[in-house]
Amino acid sequence: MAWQKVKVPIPRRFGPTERQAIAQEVIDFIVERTKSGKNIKGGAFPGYSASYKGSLDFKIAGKGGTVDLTLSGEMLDSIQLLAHKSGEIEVGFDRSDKELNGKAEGNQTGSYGTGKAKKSKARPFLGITGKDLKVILDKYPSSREDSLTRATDELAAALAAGDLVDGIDFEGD
Amino acid sequence: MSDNTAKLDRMIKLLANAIKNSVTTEESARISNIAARQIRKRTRLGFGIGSSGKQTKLNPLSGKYIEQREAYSENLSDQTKPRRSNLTATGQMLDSIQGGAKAGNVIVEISGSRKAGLTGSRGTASNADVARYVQEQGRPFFGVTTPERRSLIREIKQVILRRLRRG
Repeated sequence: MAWQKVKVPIPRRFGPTERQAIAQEVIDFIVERTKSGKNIKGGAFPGYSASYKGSLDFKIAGKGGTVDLTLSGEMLDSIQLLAHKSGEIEVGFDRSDKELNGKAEGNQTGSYGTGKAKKSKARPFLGITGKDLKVILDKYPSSREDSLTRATDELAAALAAGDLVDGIDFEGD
Repeated sequence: MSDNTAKLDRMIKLLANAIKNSVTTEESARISNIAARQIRKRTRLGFGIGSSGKQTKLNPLSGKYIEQREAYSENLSDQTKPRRSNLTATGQMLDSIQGGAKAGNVIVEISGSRKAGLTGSRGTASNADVARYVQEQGRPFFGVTTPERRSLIREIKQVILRRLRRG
């Protein structure tokens, strides 16, 4: 089982704050693209098996015809920023989580626990094309001030959202 | 950390605080409803919350309880099967989970009394009592896992950013 991660090259002009914000946007893009049923290159994923489509899990998850690599959502929602340095961000899965890396690898290569990659069954999702990356990077103008404004908005919104989630009051437990 | 980065971090924290204080009741309710939906779905899929916030398979059912569920299978919810451990018999407890917002707080609650249970008899336990019992029995489920937290943050962040960027 290999560690599932991807290095995304970005211009060296971006500092740590912008790199973290860009990484968030790249992860959001990967998750949303996958949930919309598209692979890295924008094509559709191979279909689900008939037995899976007839399963109770499929029904409980409220899944429809779109292959979106989402049951509980655990796999896609576990993608995180692993590292960043000048000119590069790295996103993927926590190295210590063998189960998730195995699941992601199964999808990426089409092996699904068999140990043998099968291209026709592969559902590559962890990555971004240069064209899609450019759309994100274009939102960070060459003016440092504007670029940092975009980055601080992104990071502040995530921080505020995190505080709101952590403040949820679970009553009745 | 350079002075510049430290200054930016301070700015991000100040902005985050301002954003948090501007969240509307409608947005709070939206957050709580998404969280409630996540808990119901994950639990029905057979997962609880592990010690590190990881999604973890719920403990299997006892043989005796499986036999009881088989005997009363006509009363089982269509979201489960006799052998399936997903905190669902009639489905009342998970169905009672709902989101809400009170005085600026985001709330997810389990509430209400129960109708007839699996065996057809009606006890005095509330849905919250049942939730407490199953958790004490080693099946913690009421809360959000780390991936669910990320998913919620992503959704809320988009709402906040749309508002921020609209000016």
